[in-house]
Amino acid sequence: MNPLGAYVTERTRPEAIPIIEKRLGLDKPFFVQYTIYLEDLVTLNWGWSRVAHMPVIEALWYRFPATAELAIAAFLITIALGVPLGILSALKNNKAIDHIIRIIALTGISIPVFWLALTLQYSLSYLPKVNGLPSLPSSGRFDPILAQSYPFTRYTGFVIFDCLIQGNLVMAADTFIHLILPSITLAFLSVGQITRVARSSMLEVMRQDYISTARAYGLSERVVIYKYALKNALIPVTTVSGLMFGGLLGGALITETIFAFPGMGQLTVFAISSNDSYTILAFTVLASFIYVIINLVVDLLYAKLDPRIRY
Amino acid sequence: MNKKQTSMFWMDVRYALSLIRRNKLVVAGFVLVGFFLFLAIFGDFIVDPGVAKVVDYPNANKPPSWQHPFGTDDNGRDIVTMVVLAAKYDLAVAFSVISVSIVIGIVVGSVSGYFGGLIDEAIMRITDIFLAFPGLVLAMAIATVLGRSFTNLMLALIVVWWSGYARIMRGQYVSEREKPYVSAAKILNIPSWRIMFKHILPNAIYPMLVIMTMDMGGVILTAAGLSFIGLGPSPFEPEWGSLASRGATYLLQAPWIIFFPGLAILFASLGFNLVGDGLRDVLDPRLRR
Repeated sequence: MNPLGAYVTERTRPEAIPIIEKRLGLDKPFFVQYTIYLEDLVTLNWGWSRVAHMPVIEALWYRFPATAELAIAAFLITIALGVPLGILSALKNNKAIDHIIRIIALTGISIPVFWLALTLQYSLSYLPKVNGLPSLPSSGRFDPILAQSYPFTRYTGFVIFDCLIQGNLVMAADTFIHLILPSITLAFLSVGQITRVARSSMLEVMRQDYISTARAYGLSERVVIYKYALKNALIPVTTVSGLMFGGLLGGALITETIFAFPGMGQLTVFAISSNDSYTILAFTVLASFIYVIINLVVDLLYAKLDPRIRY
Repeated sequence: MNKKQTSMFWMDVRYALSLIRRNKLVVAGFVLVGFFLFLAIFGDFIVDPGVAKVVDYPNANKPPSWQHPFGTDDNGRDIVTMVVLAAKYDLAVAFSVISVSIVIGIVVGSVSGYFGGLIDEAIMRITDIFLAFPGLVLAMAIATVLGRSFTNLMLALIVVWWSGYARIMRGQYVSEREKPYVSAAKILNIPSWRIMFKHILPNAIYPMLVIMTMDMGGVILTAAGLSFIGLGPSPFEPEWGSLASRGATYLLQAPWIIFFPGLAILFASLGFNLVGDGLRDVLDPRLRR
């Protein structure tokens, strides 16, 4: 594929093509192009985003806090629900409650994101609004009209945090309410994964010899579970939840698009549909980079959790 | 197989079946998968396949009624009919993506894992390139470049999917190749390809079965997601994702257009996940009691 394709239309004058080629460095040999690319990559000179009308790095920097806010909200819901559900499911193995939790978890990994998002929008935002009931906002990060009456300054870009340190409780609450539907959507999918991992790792641990030993010593079931089993069962959960958080931070493409949430994922979907290769490339690099960093953090956490592991 | 081995094999099968039957969730999964397979194979005979090409605006966006239990879409087509017709296409995508990916995965992974050394390094670095991209972004980019059609949707998904299988197969081959039966086969001077595919493969493939079954659900979801964003087939080829995506436009006037195709995706994918989940219990010897 010729990368010029994205810059040339039928209205481009033929004599302009070599100029564009020269400006983009496409007239140079392939290997020279690659060294230029690598140099630009490390100096954060990531090109011009045509969909955001600003340098790519600035566009991503501006949108990252939105994605991160959403990721943190979804992650907190996931951990708060997924881990207890998984543990409960394992302890009640093959009882009715176990089957119910397993079905919920499998539904979580089988549900189409766009369908869940739109169904939530319809049932929790549109229907109550039509019937005059209090409803949740269905799109955006905060209400821009409300923001005019309660202005705030962006320091970090994390709007909730910015509003709180400025004492602007109205906007903080509004941003929080706007987070509810998208974060529930994202969390529903990851709760499924976490519950399954927590369940299988807890089952695995409860079969270990040291659990039988602890029971043989006459320790109460509560002590066995919470003091001996739980800590070991949570090690695989940490790995998976870490990777999941890395994935969430990389931007939720479909969820952000449906809820018109101004994060990196939404920008990427715009970029793909308008063939903006700089933005797509930058997003891919950044998402992979975040994923690798989170992976490293999880690996280091391992050693803290499991003293047998030494680096 | 001699007679004794055959009877042992059937004992294993009967034991596995009894384990499956004991687990109600797996039975539910098999029922769901069977139902959708039935729709995929006999769908054209149950409902009129011509409905997909109908454009009947006076009947567009009609709510569920006795005549149209799921309502009609924005072209005036009956949604029950469309959902039934789409089963064929969606399951075909899932089956072909998984089977092509697993064949590529087995070939690449076995060569890489069995021979090791420089070949392994080279093949795995290429695989890493494919693994490094976020799956959805890569699939979207490929589908955009190739243009919208069924074949291209499948191609995009295969490009995303094979690398994971290659990785797992390589790991299996690396752990199997040092085992005594492989050394024995080597001493007997059996050709490498025969050891790889006749001796090691049956041992290495087991963990893949669970992953493949659960991935069937994953492919259905991803394919639906891609065609939801507009990278799927044309509106006149019924597909759950593209049906739902048309429904998204009319969400407020006609929520049933998106609701029922989405439900079909959910149940099809849930069925495969339930079966996969149960298969793991059956194949995991530690769970046998």
